[in-house]
Amino acid sequence: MKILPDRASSYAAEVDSVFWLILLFVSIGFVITLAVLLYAIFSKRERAKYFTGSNWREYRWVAFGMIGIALADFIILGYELKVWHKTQWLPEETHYKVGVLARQWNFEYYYPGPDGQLWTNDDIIVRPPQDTLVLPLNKKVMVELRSADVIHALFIPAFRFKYDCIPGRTIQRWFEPTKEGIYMVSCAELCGVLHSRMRSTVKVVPESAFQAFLQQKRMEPLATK
Amino acid sequence: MERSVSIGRIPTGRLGMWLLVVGELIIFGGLIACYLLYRLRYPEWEEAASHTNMLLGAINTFVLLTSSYTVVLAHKAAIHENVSKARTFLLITILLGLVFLGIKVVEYSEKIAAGYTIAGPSLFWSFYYTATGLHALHVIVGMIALFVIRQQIRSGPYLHRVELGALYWHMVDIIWIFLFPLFYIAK
Amino acid sequence: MHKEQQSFIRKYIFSTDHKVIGFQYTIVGLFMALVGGYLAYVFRYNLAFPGESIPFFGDALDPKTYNGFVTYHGAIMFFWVAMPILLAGFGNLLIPLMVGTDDMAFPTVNMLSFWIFFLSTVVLLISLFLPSGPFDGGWTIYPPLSADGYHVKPSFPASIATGGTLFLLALALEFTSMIMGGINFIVTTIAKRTQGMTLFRLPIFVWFQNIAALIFMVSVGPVVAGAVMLLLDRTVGTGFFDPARGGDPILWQHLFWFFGHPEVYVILLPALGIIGEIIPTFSRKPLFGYRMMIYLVLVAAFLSVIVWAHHQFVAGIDPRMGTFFSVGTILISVPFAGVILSLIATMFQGKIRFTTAMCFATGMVAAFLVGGLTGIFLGSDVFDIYAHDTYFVVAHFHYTVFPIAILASLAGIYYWFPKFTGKQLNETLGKIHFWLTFIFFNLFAFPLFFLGLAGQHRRIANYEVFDYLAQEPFTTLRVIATIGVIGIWIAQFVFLWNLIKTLRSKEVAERNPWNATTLEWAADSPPPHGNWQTPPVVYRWAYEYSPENQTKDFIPQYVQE
Ligand SMILES: [Cu+2]
Ligand SMILES: [Cu+2]
Repeated sequence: MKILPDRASSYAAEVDSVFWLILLFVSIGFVITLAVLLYAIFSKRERAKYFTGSNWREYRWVAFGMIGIALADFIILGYELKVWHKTQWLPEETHYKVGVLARQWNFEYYYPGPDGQLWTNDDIIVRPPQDTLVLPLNKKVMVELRSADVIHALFIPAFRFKYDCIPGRTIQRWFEPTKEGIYMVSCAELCGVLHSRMRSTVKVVPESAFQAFLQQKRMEPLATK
Repeated sequence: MERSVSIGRIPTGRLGMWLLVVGELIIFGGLIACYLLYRLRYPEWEEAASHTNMLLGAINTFVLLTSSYTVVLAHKAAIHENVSKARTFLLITILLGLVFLGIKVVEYSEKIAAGYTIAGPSLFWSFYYTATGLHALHVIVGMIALFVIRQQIRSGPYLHRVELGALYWHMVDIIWIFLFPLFYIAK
Repeated sequence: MHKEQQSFIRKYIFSTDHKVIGFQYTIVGLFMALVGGYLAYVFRYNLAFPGESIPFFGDALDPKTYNGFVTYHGAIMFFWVAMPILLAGFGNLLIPLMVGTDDMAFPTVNMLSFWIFFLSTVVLLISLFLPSGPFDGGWTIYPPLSADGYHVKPSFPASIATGGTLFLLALALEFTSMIMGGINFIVTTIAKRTQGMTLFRLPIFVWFQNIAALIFMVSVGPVVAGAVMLLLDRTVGTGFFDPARGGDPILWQHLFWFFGHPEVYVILLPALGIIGEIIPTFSRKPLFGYRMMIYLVLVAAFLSVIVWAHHQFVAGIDPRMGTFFSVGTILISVPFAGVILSLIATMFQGKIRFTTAMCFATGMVAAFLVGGLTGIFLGSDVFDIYAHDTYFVVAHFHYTVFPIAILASLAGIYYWFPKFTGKQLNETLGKIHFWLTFIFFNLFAFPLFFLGLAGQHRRIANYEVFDYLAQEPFTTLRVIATIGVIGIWIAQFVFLWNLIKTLRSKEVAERNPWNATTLEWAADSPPPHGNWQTPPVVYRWAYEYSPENQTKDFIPQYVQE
């Protein structure tokens, strides 16, 4: 069994590497501490040895432990903040824009219309009963998240992507799908009665197929906003 | 019950009251911080704020400051164990509190008549009523406390409680000193 | 200081005696633990066997009831179990005895605190049984959902009698009660210590209780203001958190988590205090690094109020803020590593005796280690984006909160039971209780890590629509976790049996059965109202175990050499 699900976005591997790095340090810390605990238990004697840890000579072992974990912390932070920077700031150029409008209890997807702007009247809209977010392969996509009612979260495990959809604001983040396929989308913020059934699908297709999809959607009669 | 004094000679009552005051200030601090965050975000609240009645607010500030002074006088009298004087000043303080609330009522009814209620039209009014209303509630609690203390010191060794009541009353005063400029002056 | 006979009501119901009040808090807390545990059993069963009827409950849960149950489970375990037992219960029972005084600084206020708490419990339970259903917006009460989405709510005054309004009201009452209780603790500790009890002679438990009370007081204020605002949103139609009217739902998250993160430390510190008393006693060793431990906890307490937004990485906060909160959060591991290692160092080369209390204490340290270390994953903003609101978070906080609220509480109950009842719990049954609880807890919580890593998100009644999550091995993992919960329940029946058996036996416990050094062991078991015939005098610090060149292996604080 795989610990983490399939990866399908450009930075998924880096996010996973942060996990594995932390797991490495945490496991070392856990094993050492547990070993020390067991050693302490088995170091018992007929009469206890009196020491209070109030001077450096006695306290240093605990101090070393703290220094050790501080070092591990800094290594983790040094690495993960780099990944943070990469995932959070929008890249210089993004190829496509997608809008996500969450509502109780489904996601609607918006593609810019002829004017190239999101959230305008000529947007191409995918709304139920269709529920698939079609995305182009190997293209950077800027995502804008909004909500029509309460707080939801768009969670695409395969992309390691999860951000809240909050009424009254727009959150901008990005991803780049790197593997063709169909992936599960869930809502990861309690949003009311049918939160338990709020889901959707992502479908990653080659850019040409993506263009064809947009073209076909444009032909459909415009849905009223 | 006699006044319990610690080995460090800190009266427990004073210490407890200080902690209560700090706790209350943090609650109001949270509310005021929220208000300030919104206020900075929405410059248009200036317009709403211009409808608050600065004159009545200023009079109320004056009334509360005076009451703070009279409660200090009550405390002073209590230190000199002058019970009747302490009771007189406590009464004046309570009456000033009553004046404050009276003016508040006038203010509120004026605002409600003009269509500014807790539910709008602007969120400014929600903050206005919540903050001043919560403060008025504390004024009422303070008045009740002072009244009870005033009854207690008539017969019994409770003179030190005047100080505790005064401390609480000062807190009520200080909170108003923050609310007044934030809701009435800043326009 | 002998007090005259009192009527039953004054003695056991509206009592001002800190020990009776401590018992009242603990009993209400234990009762609520049964309620919270029952809810956990019901929804865990529902998760393991979706769609099937639930023994001792009824039909499978519909999503709305499911949401309500997880909401109440979380809130109850935090605010109506951990807080009343660890902070208010143990604090009330022990602080006056440990500092050597007759009662709390303000006994009447203390009684009032309890009754406000009791009222909050009643209000909460009423809200659970409303015809319109319990509140189902999650224990974090995020608006706009918790404000009923700003479109379906009934108008004033009918809006008062809704689950969410009563839930918030109960919470506000609970906070009030705990603030008053905390003030009592701090004043008692500062102002009512007996002769010779300097600050650095106080048992670590008293220190930690006071720091916890202080953190609570500092952090709870803004969320009280927030609760008032949310209550007004729900009842009279303000829009503090309604974006349509210029409000901001994120503001609530800041207010809530500014309190919510320190809140974990508010219950952690009393737990560590209990462990910090038990481990020296059963290792016959001084508490290692006593002063450093206090300083480290003060550092952690300070850090705890500036890291709250690590709960909001996914809420689109400014990435630079993410960096700040990530660094702060991860660095909290340093002071706590010092505390945990010091506790372990206390056992090193000791004369260890594994009584039930010591078993629970050691188990708490081991389990909490997992909880603390997995916190580093979530402190990392990058990984938190993935793990947020998945079962990884659920596993993490159960590995912190369960050791705190259950293992440490039970450790304390086994340890101080003889002092406050005059009877000693059976050790054999105690150990069975411990091992069953500990093993089944791990069986319950550990699989959740894997579920979370697989991307299983929280607060879902039934995973049937979520592709691979509805398949193996995840279905089996959910069944294993549920078996763990049922096992924890069975273990508590052993405890119940032990309690009944012990309380009915005629055997009387010794005054100081564990040969401990702190002041409470100098009092009668149970201590009378007023605690002491003559107030004790303190001659030394709290952990003089196995001093060199002495035949005795402990010298209590109250013994003059
Ligand atoms: Cu949702
Ligand atoms: Cu936190």
